[in-house]
Amino acid sequence: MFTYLMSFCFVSADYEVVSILSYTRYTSRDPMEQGVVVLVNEAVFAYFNSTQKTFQLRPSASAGFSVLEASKRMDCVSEVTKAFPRQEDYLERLIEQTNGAKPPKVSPSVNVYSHFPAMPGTPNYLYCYATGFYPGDIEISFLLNGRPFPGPTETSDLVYGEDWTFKVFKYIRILPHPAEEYACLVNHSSFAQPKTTVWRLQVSKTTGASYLWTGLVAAAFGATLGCFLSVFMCKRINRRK
Amino acid sequence: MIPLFCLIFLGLSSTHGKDEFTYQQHIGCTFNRHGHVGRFWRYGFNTKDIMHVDLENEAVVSTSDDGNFMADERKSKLYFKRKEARLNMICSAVQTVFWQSNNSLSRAAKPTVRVSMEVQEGQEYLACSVQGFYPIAISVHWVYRGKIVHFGNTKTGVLPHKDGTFQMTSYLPLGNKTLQDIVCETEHISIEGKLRATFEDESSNLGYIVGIALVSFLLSCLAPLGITALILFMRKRGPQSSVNESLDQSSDGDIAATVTLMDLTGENVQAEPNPEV
Repeated sequence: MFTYLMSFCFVSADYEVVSILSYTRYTSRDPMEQGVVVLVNEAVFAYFNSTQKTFQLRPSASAGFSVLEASKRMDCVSEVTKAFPRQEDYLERLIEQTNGAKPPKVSPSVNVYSHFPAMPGTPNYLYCYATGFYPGDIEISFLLNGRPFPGPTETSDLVYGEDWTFKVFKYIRILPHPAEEYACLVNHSSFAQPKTTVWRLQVSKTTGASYLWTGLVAAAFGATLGCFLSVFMCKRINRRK
Repeated sequence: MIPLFCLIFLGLSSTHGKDEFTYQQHIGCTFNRHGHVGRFWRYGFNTKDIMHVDLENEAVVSTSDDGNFMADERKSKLYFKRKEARLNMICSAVQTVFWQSNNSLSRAAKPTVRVSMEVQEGQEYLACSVQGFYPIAISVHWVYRGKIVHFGNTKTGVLPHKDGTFQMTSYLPLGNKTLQDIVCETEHISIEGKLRATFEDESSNLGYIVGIALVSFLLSCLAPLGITALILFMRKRGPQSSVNESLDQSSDGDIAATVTLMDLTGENVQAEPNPEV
C-alpha cells in the first residue's frame, strides 16, 4: 500500500521509491537460490552478480556501481555476502519451527504482449509476464504454431511485491505475421496442468479489407497492363513473320 | 537432520515433489532531491510477514509467531542502532549510485499511444495501447462526447518492458457509440497536459500497403506476359516449324527473304500468261 501511495506522490513531487529485495529459496531441485535485486519505481535498477561479487546496473547507464567510493562499495558487497549464509540459517530454522508446513500455493496471472504496436513484418519483442505467484519456481516457454519457439528466450530478474508473491517475465524477438500463432506456456506447482496463453497479430477488420482491396485493384491494373503488353508482343512477332 | 527429514517427507507427500520454502527481505527507501523521506525493512517467510524494523519505537518487532525467535535475538538497543545505521548506509548508497550513474531510470519516458479496433468473442472493442512510459504512475481513461466513461472499460495491469519502461492497454466495448466521439486520454509526468488519441485506420501501415500493391501489380502483370512468351516459345519449337527455324537463322534478312519470295511469286504470275500467248 505504501508503495502505491508513494507512486502517486511521485507524479507531483518527484519522489523516487527504492525497493531492495533479498531472498533465499529452498527448492528441491536446486538446494539454495539466493539473490538481491534493487528496484527504482518498480523497474529493475541493479542486481547482485554472485560470481563477480558486485552489483550490476540495469537497464542502461553511462556509469556503474563504481561511482560509489571503494569503502562504501565494500560495505554494500559485504552486506550481501554476510546476509546470504545468515538467511540460509534462518530459513532452516523457520522450516524446522513450522515442522515443514507446506507453503501456500498461489497461481500466477499471465499476460502476453508485444513491446511495440504489432505490425506485420516489423521486428518486435513478445513478452510473457507471470505475476502474483507463490512459491517462486515457475516454467515459462514460448510456442510458435504449436511447436517450441526455435529462437533464444531471455528471462527477467525474479522480483516480488508488497505481498511477497513473485513476478517474472520472459521475452523473445519476433517478426509477426498474420498467419502465425504464438503462445506462452506457463507451468507452476499450483496448476494441475500447464496454462497456455495465445497471442496473434490483431489485424482489424477494416485494415484486413483495405489490404485485400489494395491488392485486388493493383492486381487488376497489373493484369490489364500484362494482357496489353502480351497482345502487343504477339502482334509484333506475327508482323515479323 | 530435521530439515532433511522434512524435505524427504514433503517430497513424498507432494504430487509435484517441488515444495519450496522462501525467506524474503524487503528494504524500502524513498527519497527526493532534498534527501530521504521514508524507510522500512521487512521480513517474510512463506507469504507471511514475520518481522520488521520499527524505526519509530526503535525496535525489531515480530509480526507472526514464526518470527518470534528472530525478534527475540534482536532485542538489544545496540542491535537496533547498528541495524538503523546499516539501513541508512544501504539507502544512501543506492541514492548516490542512482543520481551519479546517469541511469535511464532517472529520466521520464514518454509513451506512444495508439487506438485500434479489436474483435473479441464477437464484440467490437476499442483498444488504447499506451507503450513505453516511465515512471510507472499513469492515468489512462476514455472520454465519450466530452464525458469520462466510468463503466464497462477494462484495463490490463501495468506491464513491464525489458528496458525498464512500461505499457498498459485500456479496452472500451464499442456498443453503439460513434467512433469519432471517442477519445483516449493519457496523463503522465512526461506529458504536458493530456495526450489525446482517437481511432484512426492504420495509415501507419502505408509501407505494407504499398508493398502489397507493388507485389500484386507485378505478379499479375508478369503472369499474362509469361504465358504469352511460353506459348510463342512452344510454337517456335513445334515440329511443323522446321522451315521457320531455318528462316530464323538469317533473322536479320527475315523481312528481305519474304519480300524476295513474294517477288518471285509475282514474277511467276507475270510469267504465267506468257506461254498461253
